[in-house]
Amino acid sequence: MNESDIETLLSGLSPRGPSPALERRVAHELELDQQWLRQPLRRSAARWMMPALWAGAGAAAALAVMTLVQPETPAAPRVAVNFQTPGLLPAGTIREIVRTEDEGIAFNEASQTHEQRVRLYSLERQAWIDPRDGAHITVEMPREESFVLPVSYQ
Amino acid sequence: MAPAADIWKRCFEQVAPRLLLYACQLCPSRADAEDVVQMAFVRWWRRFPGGDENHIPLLYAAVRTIALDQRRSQQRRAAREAASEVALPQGDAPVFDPTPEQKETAAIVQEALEALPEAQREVVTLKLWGGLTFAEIASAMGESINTISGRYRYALQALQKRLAPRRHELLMESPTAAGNVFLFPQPAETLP
Repeated sequence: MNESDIETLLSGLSPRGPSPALERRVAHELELDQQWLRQPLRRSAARWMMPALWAGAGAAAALAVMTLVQPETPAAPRVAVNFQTPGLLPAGTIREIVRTEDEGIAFNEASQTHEQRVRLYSLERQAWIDPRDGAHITVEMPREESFVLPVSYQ
Repeated sequence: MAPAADIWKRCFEQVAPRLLLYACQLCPSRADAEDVVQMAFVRWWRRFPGGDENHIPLLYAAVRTIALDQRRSQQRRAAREAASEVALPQGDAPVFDPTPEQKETAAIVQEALEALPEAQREVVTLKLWGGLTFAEIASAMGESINTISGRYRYALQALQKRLAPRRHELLMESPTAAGNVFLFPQPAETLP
């Protein structure tokens, strides 16, 4: 009986198959995977819900502050960016003040009050994330605004 | 085109018996071996959903990794419980599915296999039933090809020594009649 005979003898035996329970367990796990794959966006939405909510809250707060101070000139035309693709989720909005210019106090004849004019240069960064592949999209928008603040003398 | 469920089932039916045989060499019981095969196959299928035959060696590597992890965890538990060392593959759980004519041969071969050191048993299982090449086995076990081929040679010699006295009983049966057809047949490989 040489080594080749041994190899033939051994490989001639078939390994015993798995139990039906094992196949059921594997099927169950793979079915769970399929269920997960069928709802990728819903899961992703849940994952990015909190940053989106925080971004929304930040934007609302910024809007509320902006309404308190009325700009004299209309804001520069905003770049219309529409990222309403279902896959994209807002990740945040950051507004960075680049510089301010104090244009001094002037008398407004129409309202018969003194006003302080301030020019504000800022850079607004809006970011979106595609949760399917983690891609980041960032748009930078430079803004220049002129604010008129009421002045009172005491 | 076959539905996805049928694809994995077909692949599983073909590889599971060989994976289980290999896992049985590393696990203390068949139930543990089935757990290991389940984890390894699911992991592998998630990574290669088409069941690419080129990645079959990775499936065996996954079985090995999971089985060794499981053993380490069992050893820690056993140490905590002051139990005895991890058991060898259970002798009473048959690992082969013999034809009626092969029953005696299967029992003798299983006994002879269990007498081999684990490292040799692994190599023999992967080579003869897994259909892996020495290079693939070496990669899966993190050893050199020379080490693996040496282990295989020593294992065959040990089996030869153990089975030679029962040669007549073994040759009475016709093992070559068994339907052990490899899913992914490898070309005959000579020992380096």
